[in-house]
Formats: sequence, structure tokens, C-alpha cells
Amino acid sequence: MQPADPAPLLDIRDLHVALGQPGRRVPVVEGVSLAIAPGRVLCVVGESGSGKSVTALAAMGLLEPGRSEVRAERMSLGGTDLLRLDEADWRALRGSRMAMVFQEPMTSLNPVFTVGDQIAEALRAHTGLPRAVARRRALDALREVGIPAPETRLDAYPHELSGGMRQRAMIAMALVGEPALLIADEPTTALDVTVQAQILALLNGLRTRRAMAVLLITHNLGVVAETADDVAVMYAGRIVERAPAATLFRDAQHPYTLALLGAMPEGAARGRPLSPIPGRMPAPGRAPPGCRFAPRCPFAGPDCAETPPLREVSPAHAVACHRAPVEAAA
Amino acid sequence: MTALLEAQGLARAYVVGGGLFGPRRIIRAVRDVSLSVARGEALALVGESGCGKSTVGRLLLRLEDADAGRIRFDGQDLRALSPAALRALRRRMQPVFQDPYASLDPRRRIRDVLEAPIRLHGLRGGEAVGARAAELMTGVGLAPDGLDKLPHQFSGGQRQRIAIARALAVEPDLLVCDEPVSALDVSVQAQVVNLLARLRREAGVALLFISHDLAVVRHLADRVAVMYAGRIVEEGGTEGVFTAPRHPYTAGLIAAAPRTDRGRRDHPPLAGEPPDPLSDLAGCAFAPRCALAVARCRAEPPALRVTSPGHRAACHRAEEVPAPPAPEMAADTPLARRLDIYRRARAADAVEQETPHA
Repeated sequence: MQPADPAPLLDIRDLHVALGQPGRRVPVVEGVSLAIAPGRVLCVVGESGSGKSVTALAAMGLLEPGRSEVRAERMSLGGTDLLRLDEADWRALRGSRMAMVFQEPMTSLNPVFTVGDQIAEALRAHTGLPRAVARRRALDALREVGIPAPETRLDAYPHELSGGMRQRAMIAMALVGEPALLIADEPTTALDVTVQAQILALLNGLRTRRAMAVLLITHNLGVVAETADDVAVMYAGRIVERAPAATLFRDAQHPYTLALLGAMPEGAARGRPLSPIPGRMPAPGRAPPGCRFAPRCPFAGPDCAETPPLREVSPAHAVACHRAPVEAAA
Repeated sequence: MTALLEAQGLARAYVVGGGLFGPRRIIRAVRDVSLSVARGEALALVGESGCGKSTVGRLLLRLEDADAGRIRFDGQDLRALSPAALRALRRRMQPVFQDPYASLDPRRRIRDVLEAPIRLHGLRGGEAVGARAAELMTGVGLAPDGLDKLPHQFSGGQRQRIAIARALAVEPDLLVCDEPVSALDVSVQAQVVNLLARLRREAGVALLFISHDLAVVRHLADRVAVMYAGRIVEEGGTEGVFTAPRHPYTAGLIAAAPRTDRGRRDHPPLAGEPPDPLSDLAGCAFAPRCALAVARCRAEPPALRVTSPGHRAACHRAEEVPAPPAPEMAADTPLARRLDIYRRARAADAVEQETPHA
């Protein structure tokens, strides 16, 4: 993302992911490159079917080998080549240098163990720390994520916590191994807005305090604007625009990015209709040749049958569109 | 002018536990809610999970009975009506739910979904039924040849429009929409929001719009009622509520909603979570989270009082609630210019009709 940055922590170049049984695989992610430096937040934003979650799953080694194919020019975390890891290596990495938080904490927490036991066990599995030490670290982690009365919550079961507290507990579990990279897939989508704001503030504080790199997957452009340093916009398996967040929300150029912003009720004049995007995103393997957004794009022309490369329009700002930037004369 | 729908003093409590499941306890989901919707008006009921907004919707639709309170529709007390009269009245008040996947039978063709209620209520006969079904499809922006398809052949947004067409089939005066766009991607959400706005404008259908999405509410509603812990804490015209909220909870909700025009969030979020619905609080339910709370707030529950014409709030310190920051979308950024160009280009080639994708 930051070409000037010499040492990204997570470095993914030209990632391709195909899903399905061998012989019937369909491409879901095509040519995605991402890099995140320590202490920075990269948001990958897109609608359902854009390939954003599959990109995150590939970066975590969570795609089932028999049902997926992951290829990349490079995929590394710190000095570790992620393309050469076996299942045991991945397990060791997840929960130590890399951790993740998902949308629905109730399905990621085990309902029959207390929150404290789960956090302590996650830590013991990677470090072999004595039980009492692990429990103390679990308590520290609950305190750090702002759970009130952490001493009592240590012995609470997941169902005894509110949704926001469960998500905090999940984040505590992710943090206890002191990861260098946190991958969060729609971590606030199931939460109410006041709780969402609390969780985003928490993540923001953590990445600053711990210089942790964060890959945040979201469909919500408001969340992007309020948390991201850098943004990648995905459409039908490809990155169509990427930029520092401050640049994107001043100078977005790809028609799909404009379409997403134009469809949002925020900023639209009251009483004037919103601008929906006609049609729908192509299903994997069914995308038209050339620019995938062209069939839904009001600016598309014959040249869009040719795939537009992701080209830099200004430092760190790249757009995959033959027509960008559209200006009044166009 | 009498209101189309008027509710007074609605209350609903649920009993949980008892027997094997621990002590018997009472959840007060709705505690004294009064509201009214005028003909053709859009009232939004907003709040976070557990605040009671969906329960209010269910009480108004008579999907369950209130423990206390009175509901009048077009001047008639729903409790006083005979079953037949209640059925006839129900036709005029139709629900639209969040999940169109769950509310459409996967084995029924759309034609049947739309024609059955028209026949049931005797609104049309013979060939006019089919013509009306085609008209309903066109009305929600779908091609009439979709009538012979099954629900799975439509996308989520198209299904939600079919659910709206079904509600419209019986020519209601009011749609009660519970989070109708929450499950949809933003591009599709815009279609459904536009459709609801057009129904109001062109058919004069009133809306009770239950939602947690403040941006959609601000775009669509004439008036807003904000619920917290089973009560309405603020109610007023949409612009007044958004630009000069008179309850600290409303101000907190507005500040918490993520926006694209402000850059990195730096203000501290509203702390805490809504109170346990099992507990009974002496004073204001919001006081434990409120930056303005004083001793009086913890002792004496604030009544909903008029703070300015048409605007009411239940807060002892309503006049001291700070105004939220105004939108900062600068008109002269390249993005603002391009969004304008984009919207005009989009409007120029707008195609209202869509065909199912399969």
C-alpha cells in the first residue's frame, strides 16, 4: 500500500484464489496485492461477493486445501513465507503472530467454557505457560479491552455476556498472544452503533499502543472513513481502487467507488432519490471480459472490454479504470 | 384531523424463568409508549437492540397483545372491534420484515403470492386479478414476466421489493416496516429506500419505519421517535431531531453512526450499554451512561415534555444537550464534483424495470 514503506509486515502480491472441487474451481480472488506496515490499519471494502472475506481467509491460511487453490507471487508476514506453511505451521502462527476476530463472537467462542478458561487455553496452547500465569494474562487482556469487573467476567460463560462484551472478549483472546497482525472480518457488523463505536475506538487504541497492523474487512464505508489509514476497494474479485483513506474520501475516482458512495443515504439530498447501482455483481466465473464493473457503469465505452490495469494516478493512489477520473466535460 | 394510527400507553412485559430455569423474572420490553402516524406520513422508530422498537411494531400490528394501552386505527379502537371488523382493518395495515428470504414461501410462484391476497379480500375479480399483479410488479420496479418465477430466482433486493408488492396487494394505508433494508448491500438498499419514498409520494401510503440505521431514517422519515429501554425518549421532526437533539441518548446515537465526511474518529464514544431490561431503575434509564446526569436524574424519571413546538424529549436537562457536529462534506473536493457527475450520468441512463437474473 505504501510504496515508500520499506518493510510491510503483511505483504501479499498478486494473490489468486479459486474455490470448489478440483476441476470445477471458480476464481474468486484475482490478482490482489496488499501490504500493511506495523501500526497501520488497512480496510478492504466491498459488497457481498467482492472477494474481500476470501482474501482475508487466504491471508490466515483458513481455506480448506482440498477445496481451494491459493497462488501468489508473494505472501509473507514479517520474514515468514506464508506460501510454504503446512497446517501445523499455520496453527502455530494463528494465535501468536497473527490473530483474528470475526463478525459473530457467539459462534467463535465455545459456549461450555468460561471466557477466562478459553483465553488462558488459547495462550497455553502456544506458549505452554503455567495455568496460573495464563489466567493472570487473561485477566490483563480482559482489562485491556475495557470489560468492566474483569475479575468476575473471567468466570462468566459467553451467553452471560452482551454482544458487545462478547466481541471484547474475542478481541482479548486475539490479543493475548501479542499478535503483530490482527485480521478482523466485519467485527462490528452485528453490533449496535454505540457499541460499534466503542469497539472501533478500542481497535484504534490497540493498534497505536501495540503498533499492531490491522486488516479490517468491512462493507461499511463509514467504518472505513473512521478507522482506515489505507483502503482497498474490491469488486468481483479484484481491487478496483486503492488509496490512503484521506485521499479516497476527497478524491475517489473509480466509478464503482463513486457508485457505492452515491448509493449511501448519507450526504444525499432529502427528498431526492438515492442512486442505486443497477444490475448485480457477476457471480464468480461469470464475469464479463474486460472491466467487471462495465455492465453497471454509466461511463463505460467500447474500450472497457479491455481489462484496465490498476494504475497509479497519484502517489499511493491507484485506480483500475480507463475512464478515470471522470470530469465535467466528459 | 384524526391520526391514521394512534397508540396510547402501550406496555408489554415478558415473564422469563420460573420452575427449572431459575427464579421467575419480568422483562419490561415496552413501558408506556404513545405515538401517532398521520395519513401519508413516515414516522421512524429508532433505537438499539432490546430497546423495544420491534415489540412496538408487533403490538401495533396485533401480532401480539399489549398488556396495557390503547390502539386506534382510523379512529376505531382495535380492542372494541369484532373479529370480522378487525380482519378488515388489518388489511389496511401491512407488515414488511427484514428478511425477505424467510417471509416468502420458496415453493410459491410470485403470481400466487401476489394474487392470493387480492382474491382473499375480494379486491378484484376474474382477469383483473392478473392485471393487478402485473401492475404491482411494475410498481416495485420489476418486470411482470417475473410473476411466473419462484423466490430463489430473485436477488435479495428484488425479493424485498416483492415482499413490498405483496403488502401493497391489499391496498393498505400503512406499511409497518421492521428493518426492511438492514440485510441488504448499500447499492440494493438504495432501491428499496427509493421505492418506499415513491410509494408515499405517489400512493400516499403512510410508513412506520422501524430501524437502527440513522442515515436511512434521516433520508426517509418526516418524524422520528427514539426509544431507549422501552420508552420513547425523544420525538420530533426529522431535521430538528438530527440537528438539535434534545435527549443525550439521541445525541450519542447520532455521534456514533459512522460517517464518511469526518475522517478518523477522535471523539470518545458513548460509554456503557443499555440497562438490563430486568431491572427497575429509580430515575432516568439513561443516567448511568449520560455525561449530563445529575443527582435529580438518578432519583426522578423525566417525563416526555415539549421542548419546542412539535418536539418532545424526556430529559431534565434537554436544553443543555450539545448540538452534534454538522456534516462536513466539502462541496469543492474532486470527489464531491465527481459524485455529482456520477449521479447525473446515472439518472440519465436509469432503467426502472429489471428482469430476474435467472
